[in-house]
Amino acid sequence: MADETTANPWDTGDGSMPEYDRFNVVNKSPRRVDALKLALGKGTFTDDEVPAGMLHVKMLWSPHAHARIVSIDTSEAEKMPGVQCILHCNNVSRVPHTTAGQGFPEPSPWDALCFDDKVRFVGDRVCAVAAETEADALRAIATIKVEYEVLPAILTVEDAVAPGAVQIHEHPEPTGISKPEQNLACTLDASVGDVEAGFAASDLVIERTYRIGYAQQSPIEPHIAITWLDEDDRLTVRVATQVPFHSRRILAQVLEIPVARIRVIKPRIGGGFGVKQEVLVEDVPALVTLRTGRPARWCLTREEELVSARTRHPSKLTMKAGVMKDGTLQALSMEVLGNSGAYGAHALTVVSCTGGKALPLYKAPNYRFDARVAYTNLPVGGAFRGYGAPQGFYGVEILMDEIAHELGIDPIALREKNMIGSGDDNPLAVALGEGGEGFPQRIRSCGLPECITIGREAIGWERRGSFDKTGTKRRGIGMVALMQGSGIPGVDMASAFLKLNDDGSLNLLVGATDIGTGSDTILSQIAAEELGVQLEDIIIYSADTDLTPFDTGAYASSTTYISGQSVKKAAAGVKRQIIAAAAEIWKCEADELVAADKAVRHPDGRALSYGDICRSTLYHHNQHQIMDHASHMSYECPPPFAAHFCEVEVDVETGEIKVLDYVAAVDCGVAIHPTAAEGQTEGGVQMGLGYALTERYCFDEKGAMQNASFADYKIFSALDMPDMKAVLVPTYEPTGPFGAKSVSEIPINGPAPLLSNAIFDAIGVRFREAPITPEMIWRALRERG
Amino acid sequence: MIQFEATVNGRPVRWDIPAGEFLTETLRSHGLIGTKRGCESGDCGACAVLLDGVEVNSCVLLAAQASGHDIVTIEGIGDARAPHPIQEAFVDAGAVQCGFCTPGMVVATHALLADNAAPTRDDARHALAGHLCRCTGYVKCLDAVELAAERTAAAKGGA
Amino acid sequence: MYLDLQTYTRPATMAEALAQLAAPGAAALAGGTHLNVHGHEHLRAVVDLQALGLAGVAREGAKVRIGAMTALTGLVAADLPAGLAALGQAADAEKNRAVRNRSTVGGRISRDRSNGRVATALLGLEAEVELATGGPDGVTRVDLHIASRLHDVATGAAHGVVTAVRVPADVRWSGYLASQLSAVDAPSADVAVSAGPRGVHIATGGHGRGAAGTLALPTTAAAATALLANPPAGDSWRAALREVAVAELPAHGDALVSGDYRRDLAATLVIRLVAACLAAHGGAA
Repeated sequence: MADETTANPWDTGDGSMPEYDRFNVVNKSPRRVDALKLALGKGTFTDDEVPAGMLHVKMLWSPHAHARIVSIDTSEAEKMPGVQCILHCNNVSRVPHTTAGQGFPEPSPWDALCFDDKVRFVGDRVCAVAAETEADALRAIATIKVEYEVLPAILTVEDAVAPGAVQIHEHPEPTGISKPEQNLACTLDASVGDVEAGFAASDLVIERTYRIGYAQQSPIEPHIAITWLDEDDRLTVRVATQVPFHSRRILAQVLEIPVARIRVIKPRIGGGFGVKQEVLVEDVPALVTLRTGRPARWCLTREEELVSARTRHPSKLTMKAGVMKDGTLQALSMEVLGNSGAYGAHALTVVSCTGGKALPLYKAPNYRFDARVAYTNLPVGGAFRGYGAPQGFYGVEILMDEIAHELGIDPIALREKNMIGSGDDNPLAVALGEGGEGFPQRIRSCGLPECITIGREAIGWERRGSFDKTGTKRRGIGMVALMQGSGIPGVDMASAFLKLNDDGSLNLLVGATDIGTGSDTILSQIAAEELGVQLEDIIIYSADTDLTPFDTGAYASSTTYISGQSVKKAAAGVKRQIIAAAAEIWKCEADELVAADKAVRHPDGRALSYGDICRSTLYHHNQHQIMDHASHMSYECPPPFAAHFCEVEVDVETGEIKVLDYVAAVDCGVAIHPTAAEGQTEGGVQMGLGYALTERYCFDEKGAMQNASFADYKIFSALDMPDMKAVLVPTYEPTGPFGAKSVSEIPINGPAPLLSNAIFDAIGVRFREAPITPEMIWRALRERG
Repeated sequence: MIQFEATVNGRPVRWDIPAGEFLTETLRSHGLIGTKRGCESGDCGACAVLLDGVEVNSCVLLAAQASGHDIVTIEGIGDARAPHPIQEAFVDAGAVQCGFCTPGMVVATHALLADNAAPTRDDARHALAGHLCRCTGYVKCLDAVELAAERTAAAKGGA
Repeated sequence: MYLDLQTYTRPATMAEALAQLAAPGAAALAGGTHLNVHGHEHLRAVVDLQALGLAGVAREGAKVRIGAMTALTGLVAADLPAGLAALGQAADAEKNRAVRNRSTVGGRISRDRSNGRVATALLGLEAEVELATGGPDGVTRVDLHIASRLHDVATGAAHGVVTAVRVPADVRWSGYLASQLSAVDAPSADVAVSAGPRGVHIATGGHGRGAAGTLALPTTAAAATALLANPPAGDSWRAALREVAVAELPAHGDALVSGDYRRDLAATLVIRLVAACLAAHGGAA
């Protein structure tokens, strides 16, 4: 990692800002490499190309929250027209695994089977039918008779961990469950100093409990996988995934076939946001293909996506802080009781980020973090943009507002007094890494003070407290400060391969998966900048386990920071080879030569284009292919920082909440593609506003979701979205490619606590539960009288 | 099976389809894959096409209902050789992220600009209200509508 | 989702349509915007009404006749008398433009739709519904008050094909208001108010969703209407109106909102609309 710091040609070495105008391709916003074809409707998503003779899979889902399957009678279904394959717990082998697409061995419990003889939530798998058409499969499913022994359902985390609660995972096969008999998927604690001593030494100790609910990633393209056997009898899987390499590995495990027999192709992806970091729909069509020899397709409906895919872990946070009268933090503690639903996918690592990403934003001599994540008979938690941090910031950022209110200090001043900054060490980084002990982190770039300055100005912070408090519609202003990480330190690894073509263009092959984030463009920009070529000269391909090198995948805000650095290294290698080839042609020393503008120049004025050099090396002179590859991993995890501000209007009669204005100022280091970085920020705020206000899971008394459609699970539309301003605050991160840090996850941490803070300013009622619905406002105001 | 006869992207077609098939499926199974399936309940707009010039959700329209009518899909709006200015505007405004909702939004913008050559930001919001996007926050999509309108007006003014 | 249809027909006459609808498992098809969701698995035949010439808005004596197949966007664009503003407002608030382009006025009162903005507005305007009934032997026209039609829909007794609705052209003022979670949401509560020669009419909808059996069709707020025939002086009508409205409105709760919240919301919307009406008419409604 240290070599990256020194090898970076843009690093001024003294912490001052580099000259941005030295960039030719990065820190600019060219057309995205894939945008036009997508606008033309030509982007090839998983479902846009179907093999001949393909079967369609449909699933019979559990109608019960918790039940044992006594018997499954498929005799009638087998005789139905078009039916080719039926899969259930009596004919599929029991291979415990996790659906969480993480590095090996996954830090999530292996508590899932393809089909179990138990169902653990309404929407769990019971039986799959593959038929000639979806209609045939659905007709067959309607005839399947399943006898269930219904078990008591656990619908709250409190019930899950209560003594004597029925055990949700009692089978012997699963491994990695922390305390199955207590329904605990995982437990985790970490501390720095002694919080009790810190509380004792404080002028004010404040303790509050916060609850934040379910939400779903809701990519507009639902989960889909299409499988077939190629001419060599290898299983090919085209799938909407963020993690093609993890998908291949986990699929090999589940299907009990070698990795070598599987090829996973990631085509265009219609959004992921974490839910496609799950190996969720590959296994069933793959089993069908292996059994029938025919291609198979499984595509979730929107209802299935909402109920049976993955969600954000609902969490209950008990926050406690000790502060001095002047606002200085003495101790900060967070206790989490998370709900993982029926399976433990990502439970440990998500909850570790709840503490690990949120607590260190404020410096305290004493921290404590104590987390338990319980199983319930409800939909399953998973990876979701922010990955635990939104839950953590929900607690931390409302608590900061509550402390400011108690002490009579301006909320901004309180934050400025305590927040982490450039040169500070993150004391929790070692105690609380990704699911366990981590690596030391020092903040090398931090634009948070500038973010706050810009945000307070843009929102008109000075108007806070001056609004009329008598009318039907009351206004208020709030703010939050945020951070995230850039990749998982010591875990995430990416690699890239580059080769030079006859005309000086280059093929860039990466395992990094563009899921709509723009990484194909951003990685191409990085390669082009390093090589001294234009963006159009890079032909990028991502990702295919047969063709591209490994990448852990698109998650943990890692692609620009980790994959970008691997691309930069590979590009530097190719550039060295280009120069060396030119030196050989000219019989001079390589260090006399300069490569830029797609040509190598000699001090005497001679020049060879990259195309000239490539043709020479391919056909004439010391024949070889100019190509290089590189891998990158990092023990550093530089946080991006942000400050969000908003103005709301609350109708005190109806409870309706209108977000009038929103400002998100973010420090993501050098933005490789500023328009894309703004887009990530705007999209993250939109998603966060839904989480704050409209997106919720309504269950009936039996644990069935009542609002599983886009008509009733409300994600923000263009009409709901406030006017918003995304401001990029430039800093230079010395460990990142061309100074870059991550940007994609941090924005979603803001809206949920921010809305609580702004609504408190508007009507003086503090909400410690999200989402905040109009009815909650109405009820709270009536109770207040 | 019933016979579906219509004009699709200016060409007459005659296809045999099941009576209960929705137009999204009919179009996609005939190679018009730019029309996307996102919700199949008329809520997300990824499947939008023009039916006799007005925007409809093809996922809640039986193909049979559209028989005898004029249908334009995203493929009929522009292609790689001649992209429509709206498509160019979505690209230039940075409104395309994952791109799954983009064809529907382009169709909606096309319908909007046909009725209203100079839409306000609010008009644009209403036009895109039925097009759920989970990537962009709509900011740059609304910019794209405005940019498309400006360019169209400038092109007309220059002609 | 898929529809297991055996036949799709597009009859050219109402007589043919009614004959085809007599077949078991057959249903009339208007815009179709509600077709591809749960509850239609049983359908085997649809009878598409698009070729019957049922679209269009026309003045008919003291009424405005709105053809059943008039799309909601057609209703918004129609040159309606200013007093019928509630209709356009309700139609324009429905879901999204692509749906409004297909969804029809007739369709909105022909099935157990929980989402009844147009129905609320029609009820607030004391509309009349024109139906075609009969079979192979002939077509009979029947006129029903909108309230009886909605009652028939709610109880499953609705029969015939809606061919048009008629609304009084002499309404002086009308308005529509809805409260919803999100801008393109179905309303948690909605209200339509009209004022004309026959007095003030108030209709409210509570559009229950989610759990089965929570369907709440629009209802007339009779006591609130009566109160406004002789309103208390000054500003005190607001409190009085809230009191009677809350007392008489049903409290339908569902998975998304509770009944008492929905009822209070409807009362608030009634007061706001009546105030807007008073403002428009400078005093007495």
